[in-house]
Amino acid sequence: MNLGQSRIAVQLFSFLLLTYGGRFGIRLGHALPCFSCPYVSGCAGHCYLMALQNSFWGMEMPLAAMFSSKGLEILLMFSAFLLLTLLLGKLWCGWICPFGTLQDWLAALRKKMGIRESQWRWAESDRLKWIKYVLLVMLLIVPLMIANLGLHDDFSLPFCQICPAKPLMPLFAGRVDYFSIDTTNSITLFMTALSMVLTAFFLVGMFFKDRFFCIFCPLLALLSFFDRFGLVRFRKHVHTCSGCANCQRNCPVDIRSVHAEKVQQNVMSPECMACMKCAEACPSDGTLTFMWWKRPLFRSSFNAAAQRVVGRRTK
Amino acid sequence: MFVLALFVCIYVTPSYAFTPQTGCLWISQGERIRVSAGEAVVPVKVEFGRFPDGLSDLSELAGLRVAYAVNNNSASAWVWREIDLQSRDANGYMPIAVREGDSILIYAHAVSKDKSLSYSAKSSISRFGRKRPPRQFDVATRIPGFIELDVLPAFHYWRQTGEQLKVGIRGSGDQVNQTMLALDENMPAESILLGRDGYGQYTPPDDIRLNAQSAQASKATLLVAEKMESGIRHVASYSLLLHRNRFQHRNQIAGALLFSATAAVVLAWVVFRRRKAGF
Repeated sequence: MNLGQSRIAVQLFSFLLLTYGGRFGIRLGHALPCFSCPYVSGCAGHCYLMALQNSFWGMEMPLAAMFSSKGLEILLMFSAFLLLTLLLGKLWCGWICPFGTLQDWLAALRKKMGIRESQWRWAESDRLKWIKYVLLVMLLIVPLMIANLGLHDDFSLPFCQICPAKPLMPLFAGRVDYFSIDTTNSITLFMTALSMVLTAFFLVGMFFKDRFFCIFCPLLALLSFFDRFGLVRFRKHVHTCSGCANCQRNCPVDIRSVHAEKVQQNVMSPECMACMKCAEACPSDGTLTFMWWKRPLFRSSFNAAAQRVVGRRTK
Repeated sequence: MFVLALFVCIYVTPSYAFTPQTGCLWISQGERIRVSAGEAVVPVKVEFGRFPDGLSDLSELAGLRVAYAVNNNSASAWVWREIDLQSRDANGYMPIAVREGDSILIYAHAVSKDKSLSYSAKSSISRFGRKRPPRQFDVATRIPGFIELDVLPAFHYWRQTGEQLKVGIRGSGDQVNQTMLALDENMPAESILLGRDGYGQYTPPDDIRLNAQSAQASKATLLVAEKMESGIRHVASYSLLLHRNRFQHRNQIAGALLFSATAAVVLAWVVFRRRKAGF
């Protein structure tokens, strides 16, 4: 089993575990650093973004309460998230996230249909990557505004309300009710209409572009802050790099920095999801290495790259 | 003059037969205070007067008793607890501790000073999940003369507008007036016809004012019934804490249409851009 096949197997297992595990009594808590959507009935764990926003373990509470025992609860939940993040880092995105897996399935479907991936200019890519930080700031500020500045409570969980995973992931549990417009009041009407528009936009985008949503994912932005402290590392041996740019061509989110880096060993960029496709495609022995606690998880090699090419041709 | 007189007549004539002109006694619930995971305190208050503008001053009444019965998932029997009226805070609230799985029935009973009127009030709390509904509790053994109103399902942690309830007067049969009143903070009073068994159907109507508030916001709706017995006029109430309906306003057809239309537009735009770029 090569790296790509291993990844597919782990993704499938994670998808089944996180989407249906709750039905078998598995409870992984509310601090998962991946899109295990809480709106999926019977899921095994909840995405940390929901906890981060809401009133039990998140920002939606008066500032004075944050400096009381409530603040300790926030810290405890954040500590659980931090522990999981430090343990597996971006592997949560590339190997475990069910919504990431769904995107990979859509990309695989596109390839089966013989449709080429859409490309965009570097300048466009550079502009778009900031959106995830804007979303992250929004999902922190809006709950604070609800609790402290009297913003209407129907803006609660602002990111969850517009997240495309909310309507799409419950489909796997047989629920279609989030594909709806809520006419309770003008705010619910606006937010659900926005949710439908964004879901359609991202679904089409995810079909034509690999990991399209990950470019905008605020959880990826949050995870990237802890890259330098985590156990998962991505190293480049710059002296053995042949400059073939295979890493850049095979990256689902078009990261250029791995190819362009000529000095630094650490090439884990904020957009990287540790899918390891770059290392798998790299033909130089030991040039790109993913490590976990100083031990190699996967090291690029000529043989692995050759097998990958041969595997593709025989298909 | 005639028009004015007609207007006054229409204005002062109640739209139902059982206006509790003398007022009624009811239980209102304050905002739940979370203590820890699975534990909370629910402040309750007994009010008297014309709903909803009741008075906390209960000095017009005599023999006021407030008590509650608790049934937990782990317990098979109801536990009866009287509330010490001295425990009321400055606003008249009395705290009730609620644990996970608790179903609580709250009762208040009083008579007028001349004993010609008897007031019974009831409410329920079911804040956390429970495995199965408990058997009915017989309050008459604890408070003689208590006229008990019923709302079925008896326990629901999140009662909503738009959901049908079975309401009635327990053990009354044909003995009572066959109507009940639903008094609402925001809506006009509604009369509910009861069948021969003393029960009828009531669906709290959709409330625009409640819809405009937050999803956590609630309002009180009071069910009131009257009965004459042995020369004493009994007025009984049941307070419901209602939230706005979570599902009633979801329009799936509109959602699907908007989703499809957007997907079509985005798809057309992507195809156009790809063709332009020579894909």
